[in-house]
Amino acid sequence: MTRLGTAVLLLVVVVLGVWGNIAFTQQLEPNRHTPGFSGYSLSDWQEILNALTKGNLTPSEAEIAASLIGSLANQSSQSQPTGSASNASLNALQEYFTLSSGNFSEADIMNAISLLNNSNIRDLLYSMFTRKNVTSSDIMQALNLLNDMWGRGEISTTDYMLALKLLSILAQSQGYTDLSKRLDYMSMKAAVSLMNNLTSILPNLTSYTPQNYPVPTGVGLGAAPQLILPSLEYLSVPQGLQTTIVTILVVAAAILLFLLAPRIATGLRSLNPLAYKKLERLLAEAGRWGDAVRLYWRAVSRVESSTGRRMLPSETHREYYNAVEASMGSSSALFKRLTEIYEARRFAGNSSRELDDEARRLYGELSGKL
Amino acid sequence: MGVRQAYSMLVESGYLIEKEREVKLILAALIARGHVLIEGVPGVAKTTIAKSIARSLSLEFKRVQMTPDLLPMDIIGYKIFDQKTGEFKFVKGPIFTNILLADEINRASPRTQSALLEAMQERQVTVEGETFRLDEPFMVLATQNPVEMEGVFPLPEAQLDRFLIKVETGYPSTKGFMTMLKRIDEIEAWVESIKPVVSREEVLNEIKSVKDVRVDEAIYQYIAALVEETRRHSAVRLGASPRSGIAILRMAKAVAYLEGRNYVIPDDVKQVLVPTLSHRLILNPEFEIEGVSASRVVEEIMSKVPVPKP
Repeated sequence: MTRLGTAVLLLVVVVLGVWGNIAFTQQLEPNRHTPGFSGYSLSDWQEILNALTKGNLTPSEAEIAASLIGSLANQSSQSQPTGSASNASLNALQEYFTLSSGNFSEADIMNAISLLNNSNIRDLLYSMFTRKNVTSSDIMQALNLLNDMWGRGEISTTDYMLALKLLSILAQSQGYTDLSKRLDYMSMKAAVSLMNNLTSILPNLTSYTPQNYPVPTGVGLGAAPQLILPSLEYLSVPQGLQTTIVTILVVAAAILLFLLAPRIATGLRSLNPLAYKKLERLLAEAGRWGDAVRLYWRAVSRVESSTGRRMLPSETHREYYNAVEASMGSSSALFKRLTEIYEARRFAGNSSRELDDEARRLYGELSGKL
Repeated sequence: MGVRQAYSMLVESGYLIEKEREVKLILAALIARGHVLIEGVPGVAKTTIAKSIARSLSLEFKRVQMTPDLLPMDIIGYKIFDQKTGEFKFVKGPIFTNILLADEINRASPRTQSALLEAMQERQVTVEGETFRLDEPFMVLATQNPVEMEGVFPLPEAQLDRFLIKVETGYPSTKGFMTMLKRIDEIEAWVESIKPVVSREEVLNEIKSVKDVRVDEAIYQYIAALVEETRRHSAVRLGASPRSGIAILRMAKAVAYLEGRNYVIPDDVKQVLVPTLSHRLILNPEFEIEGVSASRVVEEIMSKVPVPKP
């Protein structure tokens, strides 16, 4: 019985595990294989977005983001027409993250300036970078200009973001740290806006926004790994592999349980024979013989409590009835009939509804009296 | 309703004082197509029970008093030369009946016992190469006195196994005995006046009906567990055989039928366990010396093996 239960459990786990793994992998497929995402997990993308939103993008995150956006830009350039808005945005974002990583050259700055679409802003920034001395008021003036134009919709988000980042670098180089941080923070907000716009432009990224981040649904072990073994998530094990690992672990545990089941059962039985018997009875009765049998055993428990006389394992149902009849008083007739119904249901194979109905009525009356 | 009706009539009459259990077991053995060994000291109504049952069932009843000088032909029959026809003709012995009471079977010589038991098993006799089938239903009610040891030939185990059940009957209680004393004339008159309530054909039909009594898988498991437990008991030298298990099953079905059910419950098995197993177990001598009986061992096994639950 125990072995059979374990075997069934094992089978269920294997089926659910395989099914869940396939289902979850399929569910992630369109998201995971977004063009340009090879080598990166979706969580990296999410982390960059979160960091940008909070305004604390670290240089290493910026470096990852630059690489990631670069791959995406390559893929996009193959599928989108040259010079499309998405390509331009991706190029600008790649440049933005390159500058944010701190690992950039003068050529990168010049490249960033060249990416600006608005010629006024481009010229202004070019002159500022080529001048020897730039004061904070110059930077503030440029910022005010940028804000005005941004407010009037005269410059794109791409230009606004890149221009802010360039001004931030300039302020940093001139020793205006606070101003640089402020500008950097503003550029990050613009970058978030641009990335969100980008996800709506690129169909493969649509389901990737923080609002609809893919969550495993349906029956399976898709969500289980993170619940069961959070360390897998911590170790950055890919989610598809997490499910496989958990499935293997559960199967191994089930096989072990299968082999040790008789010993475990013997141990449990020796710990508390009566409770074990009850458990065995409950497991066996579950849904097999209907209400008549289930209610009979409930009635037995009640009678045991009220009379203080336990049913012995070797005692038949009638023997038990005879033993408690005298101490049950007027309710003994109800219990007697319930015993007869139990016998008819259990040993005669009589599965008529009338028996169940009568058993419910008798049990109700018996419960009231005991 | 035939045999059930006879059972009710015999029990409800109140004349078979404290013999209800014996009557039920014998009737159950009859419809289970078995033979019964009744063990009891002389004078405990063994013959009365057998006679009453035979009369109530409209079956032919014969009694043979077994003695050491009884020959097989005295039971089976013999061939004699008919001078008129010039041929040998077969004279049927008392075994050609429906219910044969073999009183004090352990007094007969082993040869006679063997002939009788062979006929019980085969339900036919062969005399000088000619086979004669016995009437149906056919049941042997053999009695033996467990106390007497001199001038008796105890039945070997293999032959005891031919009996479906062994019914141990004893003295009545004081109250029952007093009732008997007061009503003895009535009882004797009643036995002689019993009218059959069941025909032979009805009995034969009921024998067929018993086979249709439902036995749940759990009951089979219970019987198997009980039988196997006899082989593990420390007091038992030779445990119950598969044939014993079959005997339990057949008797349990018959008892269920007699009680008006078409399905067996654990109580039926328990009721028939001592009668079906007690004469089949061989105990270790050291336990026998200490007074442990086979019946006690079976009861102990019953209290050890869990009944089917839920």
